[in-house]
Amino acid sequence: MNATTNTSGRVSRRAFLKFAAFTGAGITLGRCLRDYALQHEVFRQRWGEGPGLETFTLSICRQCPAGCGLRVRLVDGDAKKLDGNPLCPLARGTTCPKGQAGLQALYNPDRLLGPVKRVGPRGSGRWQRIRWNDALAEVQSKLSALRTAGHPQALAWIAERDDATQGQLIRRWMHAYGSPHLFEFVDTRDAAARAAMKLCQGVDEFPAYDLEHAHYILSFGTPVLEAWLSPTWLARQYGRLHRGRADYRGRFVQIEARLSPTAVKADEWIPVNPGTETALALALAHVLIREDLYDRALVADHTTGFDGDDGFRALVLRDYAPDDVAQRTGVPATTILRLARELATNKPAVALGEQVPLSGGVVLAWAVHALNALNGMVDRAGGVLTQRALPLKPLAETTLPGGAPAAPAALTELLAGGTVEALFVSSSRCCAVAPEGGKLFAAAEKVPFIVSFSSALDDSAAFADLILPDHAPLEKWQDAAPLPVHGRPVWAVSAPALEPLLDTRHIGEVVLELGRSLGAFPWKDFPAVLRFVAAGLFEARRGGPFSTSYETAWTNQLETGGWWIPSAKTFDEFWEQVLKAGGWFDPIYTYEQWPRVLRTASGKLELGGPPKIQQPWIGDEREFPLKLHVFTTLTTGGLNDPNQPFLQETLGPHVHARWEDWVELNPQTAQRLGIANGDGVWLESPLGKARLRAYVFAGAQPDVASVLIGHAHRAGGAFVQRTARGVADLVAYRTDATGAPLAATTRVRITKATGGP
Amino acid sequence: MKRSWPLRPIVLSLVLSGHARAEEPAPLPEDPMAGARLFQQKGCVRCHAVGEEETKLGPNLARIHRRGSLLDVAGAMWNHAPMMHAKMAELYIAPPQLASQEMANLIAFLTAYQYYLTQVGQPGNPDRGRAVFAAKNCAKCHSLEREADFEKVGPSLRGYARLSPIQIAQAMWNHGPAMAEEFRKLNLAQPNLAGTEMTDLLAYLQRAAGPTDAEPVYVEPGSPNRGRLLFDQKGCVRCHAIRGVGGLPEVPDLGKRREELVRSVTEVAGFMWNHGVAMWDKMRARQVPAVKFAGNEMADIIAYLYFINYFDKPGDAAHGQTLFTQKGCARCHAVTPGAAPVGPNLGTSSLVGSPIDIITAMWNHAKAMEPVMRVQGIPWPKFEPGEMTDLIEFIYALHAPPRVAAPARATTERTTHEVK
Repeated sequence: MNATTNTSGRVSRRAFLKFAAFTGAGITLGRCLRDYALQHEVFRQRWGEGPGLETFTLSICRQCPAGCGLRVRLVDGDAKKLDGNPLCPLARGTTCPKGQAGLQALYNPDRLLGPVKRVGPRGSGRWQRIRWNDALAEVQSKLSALRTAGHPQALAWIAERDDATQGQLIRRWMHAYGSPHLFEFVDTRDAAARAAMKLCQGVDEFPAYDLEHAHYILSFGTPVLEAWLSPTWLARQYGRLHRGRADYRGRFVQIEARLSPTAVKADEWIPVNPGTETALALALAHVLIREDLYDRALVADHTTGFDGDDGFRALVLRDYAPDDVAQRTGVPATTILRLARELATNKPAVALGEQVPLSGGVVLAWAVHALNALNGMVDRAGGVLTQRALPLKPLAETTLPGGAPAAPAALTELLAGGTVEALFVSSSRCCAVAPEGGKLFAAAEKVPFIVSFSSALDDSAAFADLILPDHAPLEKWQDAAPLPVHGRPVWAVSAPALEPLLDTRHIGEVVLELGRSLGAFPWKDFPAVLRFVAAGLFEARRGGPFSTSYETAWTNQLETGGWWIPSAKTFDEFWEQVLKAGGWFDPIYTYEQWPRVLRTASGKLELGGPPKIQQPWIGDEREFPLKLHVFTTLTTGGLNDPNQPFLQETLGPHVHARWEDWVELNPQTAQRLGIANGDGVWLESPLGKARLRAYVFAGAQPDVASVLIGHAHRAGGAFVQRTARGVADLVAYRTDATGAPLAATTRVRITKATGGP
Repeated sequence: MKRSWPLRPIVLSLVLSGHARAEEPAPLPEDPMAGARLFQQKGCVRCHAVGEEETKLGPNLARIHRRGSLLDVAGAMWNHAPMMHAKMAELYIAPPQLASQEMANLIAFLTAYQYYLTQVGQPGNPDRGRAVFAAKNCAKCHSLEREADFEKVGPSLRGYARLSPIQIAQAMWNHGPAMAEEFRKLNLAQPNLAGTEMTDLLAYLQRAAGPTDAEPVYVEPGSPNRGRLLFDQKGCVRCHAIRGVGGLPEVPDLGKRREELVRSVTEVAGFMWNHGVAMWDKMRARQVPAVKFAGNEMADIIAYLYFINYFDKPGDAAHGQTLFTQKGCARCHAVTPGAAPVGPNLGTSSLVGSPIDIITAMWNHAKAMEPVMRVQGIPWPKFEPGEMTDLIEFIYALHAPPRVAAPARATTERTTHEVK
């Protein structure tokens, strides 16, 4: 008797389910195999059959938000090698490992062939290829329905913060559509630093750092040589600090809870208890004031809130004596004294207080900013600067109603509230590093219509209803306006290095098409928008196309004297020059322009601090004896597409970690817990547990578990570590006034896992 | 044999104004910035940094403080040739060969860089500027705090901060006569700006009076040739002689005020400001309208003043002959027909054209000359300022026929020979 039928010939429930499951799996597998085969065929056909003609063109690296310029080597039109654009003022011919690996983002075997629509339950992984027209019609239909119903605000969009044209276009489109719910994330900058700039200087922008002129850098946990600002630019500044000047060798001190790669390369590493950096910064301020080492003139002329019974001076002299702070931070009082004296006597000296991907908090950012002010290093050579405006021509205002972009911290709340009926996701990076990330995914489940623009099945795309895959960066017209780095405006722009390999579409073109139905955009295509915004640079009559270091220095020198020589007579000529060079740059920064950089009501730098919120650690100390310290690495920070084996191979070279999440444990702690190097362990917090590999590392502090965050994902390609519960899910979500999730919040315990890693 | 100094249409062209003169002044570089590009193309930037570039093998151009004429700069280039060749040999870099026009462009750039741009790049001291602002009674008439202050006679200075220093200096110049009148009414002494006071004052204005978001406004560097035309058109030449040409006897000859004019633009502007007070009085007495500048005119005028001594006066051939022997040139180069030592005969060589041609030929053959000299134990000849001029005058004297003007474009261009 056939096992699938009974004697009456009726199909049993069990048999039906088996049949359905096998059929479904077969169809899905068949579709996947077909898709893979097609995709590999696409890549294979391009190689090895041409005359071997070598050419070079320029592009922009979008592996992280830095936007460094690239030089692409092509053979018969196929991209073969990526190097830095020698004219780009950030890259200067270099790339970081992420930039080198950019080809693997282009030739990612898990890229989608074209737009797809979900055909199974959400998250089931069953998709159907559809035509672009049908996909866009479906989106238009949904958007029209929302607007007709008077609910345009029911649309939300999650994007990476992008001040260049694509980002502006999305902002403008959301404005035109009528939704204020645009959430822009960036995980290579600390939102608290921006809040401190607003608090102290009235400037709503991230600070910039004049590291090029600094002689002394004191970092409070800032991953200077990992995933912060522009890695290529920072690496050059690090080199310049030590060897760039014939007459001076600078010094770099890293204060951090673990011996990170940045700390390894620093001249000195100061271990500190996690979450106590604020106290240490204020203790240094205490010494500067007590020993009269602070910049009296700057404090008197350009700050307020220093004097008085509740002023800054009284606060730090009362509460932050080195002996007291030494107890809290674990940093000896003699070291605190020495650091303060070094800071004051090795000017230009700058203190850095940004922590990423999770924030050190606005109190730390404020304390470090105040320390810089006290040391006379605000808006001075080698200090903290205020970004000069990039004179791109703004996209035209529309007459349609709209609102300002919302604060990112409200995203989970908004989605959980059930009022969002359509969600667009153009960057899933926030899903990887958001603490208690499970809540975000659970909240997103309530959204009836999710559209992803990912080029592969990543965290957001896997749970979307419709995927409209964007081109790979090398395939598209693009520009980049890096977040403040050194204070000078930079704009990178590039034409496609090669034709799109797959049936993908530029997200900017999609937005333009959606905007046409609103009557919002007059441009025929994305390059036309780029030309439009670039007209602002031409009309600004300053700066010029990317150029050699000599020409840049020459332009700087001319502008310092009030001179400027135009590179082109017409805009068309200018546009050609900018495209050929890869971008535009204005190298000058005029220091001490107080009316520009101090925009508070008082016109002074306000030293009155933010309210200090006591953030107790989550988890009972007896049950969870270790403090959780999270970090990211050079190869994962800001990375949008983790499906790149080069980067997976080089995750943590300092402990030889590859491919998977890990925890760093101090040898004493590891011995106490009975854990050996390489063991599989369970990391448990009050929020759950995850399995990791343990590395016993002398650079880890006792009773601190240092863990990589943002690496493992819920979904992804063949080279991605996939997990239902990652490290981010174990970190308690705590914020301060900025809404940025804090780093030092959670206690954990570690137990050895049985059965091997 | 080429006897006259050839025209260099772009770099060395002489543009005559409509103002008739008995003798024509020296030629001026048309575009000193052309040499900036050449400095890169010829690989000079591989060893010499400019401005804030990272330290390189050779000295930063901004640190080379040498004042002199075209041939003095050429002499300095010549002097550094052996060291340069040695370093370049270490790096396997071929020494740059230059055409005459390239040499002219390069020297014009080095002169401009030295005298015109680098010194402008040195910002004034705003704290000292604040003291100047108070001491010179500027605050009595001008407000820095508000956009409009009706209690002050003069305009608010807010908004001026975004302007280029030369634009501010031009605005000061233009309002000078009215200000002088106002000072007289208030019984205040006319403010004189000494040394770097003008630079400091402008730095203070830029710092103290800056609007919140305004970006600076730049101007294009002045053109010496446009400046010369303006010098005529504005009537400056009626009072000021240039090397004895034009002007009034009691008014200073600007061709002889090198020390005051080869300074930063803002210092020259201060110099002009100081003499403006006396000048306006005289012009008023003669019922001549005060000179005012618009657009880029003041930059052009100052560029012209920088370069009026760019080309050298005729050298001393007799001293040149002495140098020819002292420096060891005579050991390799004959100057009489028939003699044929190591190098070419300078009395018959076709390489002897304009001074630029001569120094270009010297530069290009230096690489080959150096090992020969080393073998013969002759030290590398080095030239002090003025010596190159005399040497070249001697070489010219070897060529008997008189120098003649180039026939082409005779109404608008002259050779440097004619100038002599």
